[in-house]
Amino acid sequence: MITAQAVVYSQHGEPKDVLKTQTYEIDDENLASNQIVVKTLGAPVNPSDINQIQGVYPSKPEKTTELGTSEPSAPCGNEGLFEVIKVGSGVSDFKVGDWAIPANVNFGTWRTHALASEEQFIQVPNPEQSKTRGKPNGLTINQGATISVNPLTAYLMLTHYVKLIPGKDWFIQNGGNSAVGKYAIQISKLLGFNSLSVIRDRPNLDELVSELKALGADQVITEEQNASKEFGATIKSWVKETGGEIKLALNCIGGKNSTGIARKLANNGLMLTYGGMSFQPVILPTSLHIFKNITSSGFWVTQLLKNNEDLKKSTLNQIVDWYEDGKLRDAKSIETKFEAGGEKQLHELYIEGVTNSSKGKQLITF
Amino acid sequence: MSVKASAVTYTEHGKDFQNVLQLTEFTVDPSQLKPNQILLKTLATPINPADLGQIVGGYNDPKPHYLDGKPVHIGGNEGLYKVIHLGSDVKNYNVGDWVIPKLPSFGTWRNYALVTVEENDTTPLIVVSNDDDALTLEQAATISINPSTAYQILNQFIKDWSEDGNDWVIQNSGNSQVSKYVSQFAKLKNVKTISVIRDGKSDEVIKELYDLGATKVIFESQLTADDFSSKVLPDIIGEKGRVRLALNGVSGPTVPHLFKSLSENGILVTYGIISGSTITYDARLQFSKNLTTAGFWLTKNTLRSPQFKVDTIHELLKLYKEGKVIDPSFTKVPFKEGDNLLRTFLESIGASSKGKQVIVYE
Repeated sequence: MITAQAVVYSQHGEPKDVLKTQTYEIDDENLASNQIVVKTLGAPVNPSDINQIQGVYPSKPEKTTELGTSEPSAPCGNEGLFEVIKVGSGVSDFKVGDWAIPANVNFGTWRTHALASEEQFIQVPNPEQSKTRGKPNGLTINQGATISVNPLTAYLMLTHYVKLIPGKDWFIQNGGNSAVGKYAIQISKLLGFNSLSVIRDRPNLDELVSELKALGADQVITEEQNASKEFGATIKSWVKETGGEIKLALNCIGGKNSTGIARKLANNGLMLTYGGMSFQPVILPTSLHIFKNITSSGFWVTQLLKNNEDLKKSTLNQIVDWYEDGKLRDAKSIETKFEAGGEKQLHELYIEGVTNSSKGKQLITF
Repeated sequence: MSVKASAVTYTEHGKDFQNVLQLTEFTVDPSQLKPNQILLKTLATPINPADLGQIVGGYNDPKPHYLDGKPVHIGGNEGLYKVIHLGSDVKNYNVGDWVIPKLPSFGTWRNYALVTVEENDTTPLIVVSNDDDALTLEQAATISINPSTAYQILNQFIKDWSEDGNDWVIQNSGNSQVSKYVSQFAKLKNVKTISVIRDGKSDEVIKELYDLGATKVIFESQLTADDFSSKVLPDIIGEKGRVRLALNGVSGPTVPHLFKSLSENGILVTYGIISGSTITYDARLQFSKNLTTAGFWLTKNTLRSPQFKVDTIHELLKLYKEGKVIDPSFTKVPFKEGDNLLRTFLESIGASSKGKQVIVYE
């Protein structure tokens, strides 16, 4: 028997009011043939996790009494890195010691252990396996625990819809300093595309611009420049120099900011909206739709990959490769270690994580 | 014997039509027709909002015509003509054919037109009837723009309309000509329509929309009410209903609500051109329901593929001949030989706000 803990909620609300730690037993001596037992290495706090708990996210886990709660409850968390500690007799894809991530969202990753069937997980190489394959690096816990949302979002938005010509074409994005934005900058560099990132003006602007350029950003502009007609000429000259077009815009902000990046698109360009952090609506001049034939679509990694396991696996492999080869830098998280029997219960740690999310991405390690 | 002809023209853009539009007179001599020329007599020319937008300026500039040597823009994009003389080398057409221009910016507002058949395009005109009984003048005169727009918009963005009666279109400006054709063509596919109209429209207007095939007619205030997408809409479309296409012809405050009405994977298509207008919508809805927004412009489609326009007209002709299309009403304005064409147009433009005007030439 393994005594496990999971963070759950039975009612939607603010995390500090509704989260509880549920303790439950996993019978690891009597596994069904396709079952595995995993222990958690790390599970981060994402904005979508918080929105799920608040009940304002479009997808959410079902509430059940599976974990022995008195009321039907849902487990929290969507991303996480796990280590396989036990496998059923018929399990072929995993062996003890393998690292694994959930195959789908809504698994409930804020927990110490989980019992699952093997299809619920996808294997990623542990550091030893990477070394055996001659790779210079193994995945870190942060990389593994945060691989399935942001890097995949950035990669798929850049590759799945519009064919950008390496060396020539550009994409433009607002939220250039967000986690997805930084992955998009790096991945576009790895794929040979040109990037134009919009960031908020700030006192230490030069510092941030250099940081993004060090990651591989080609051009970084402020929101004021994004909104300025005069500055458009400068952007046109950059694009002209490479002989390409701005074919893709990535929007996670909305408002005038989305209008600004949509205006930079060439004829027949595409804007993908993947976030709505500001809760501002997207605003598009109708002339862009009608005369320039711009299309604006939504991007939600969960939905795209839901019925497309091959795409998920091939994308994951690419990201893992880049991590192993040291070509991609992960967005750093602020890590806090959970100690079973320690001072703080698991849900208390996650409530702190939610509160501290404004300071940076929070990762609880185990 | 030469014919005295006139055209409504402009050389500069502006919205003061009284001053911008001019009467240009020119002569055509059928006996001097070149071997590759066709002389057309005008039967009817509608006034469409886009024609006025073109004169005001800000979008596609028509290429100038040379009437008696002077470069001018001729107003109008839609018109019905009769072939009255053919140059000796012209194939594909016969005297008596009813024809419409294939490409936009033909400059239709004139009582005669001389068309030159170029080597790279031997079919600058689409024959809509070679037997005057097949199609009425009203149908032929207005087939080129509004029915074509409605037909293409329904078929371009959704290719797999279900015939089970659960697929829906929602459209603002539900009382517009395009919307009236959309309702009719949708009904032929068993696709349902919700037509949104301004508050206060008369029962008569509403009845006409139902008669033309709208499944449901609602007022703008119903669409923008808080309970529309949570309660009113589900009641209209039923449990299995899906709103797959939202059509935006006017922009403005209804747009976010049209967007919100869409079912998963739906698409909002903007086709009405109002200069300076924007659309706004909820970003979170866009990615959580995988909604797309796009634009439709008949002119662009036609320039990209003139054959596509020809095919569309042929499909429409079939529907007309089968008696499957009802013509929305419009006002016929007569133009008699000797009338001042400019005055006729200026009066009709003034009356356009009350309903569609079509100049009919005697």
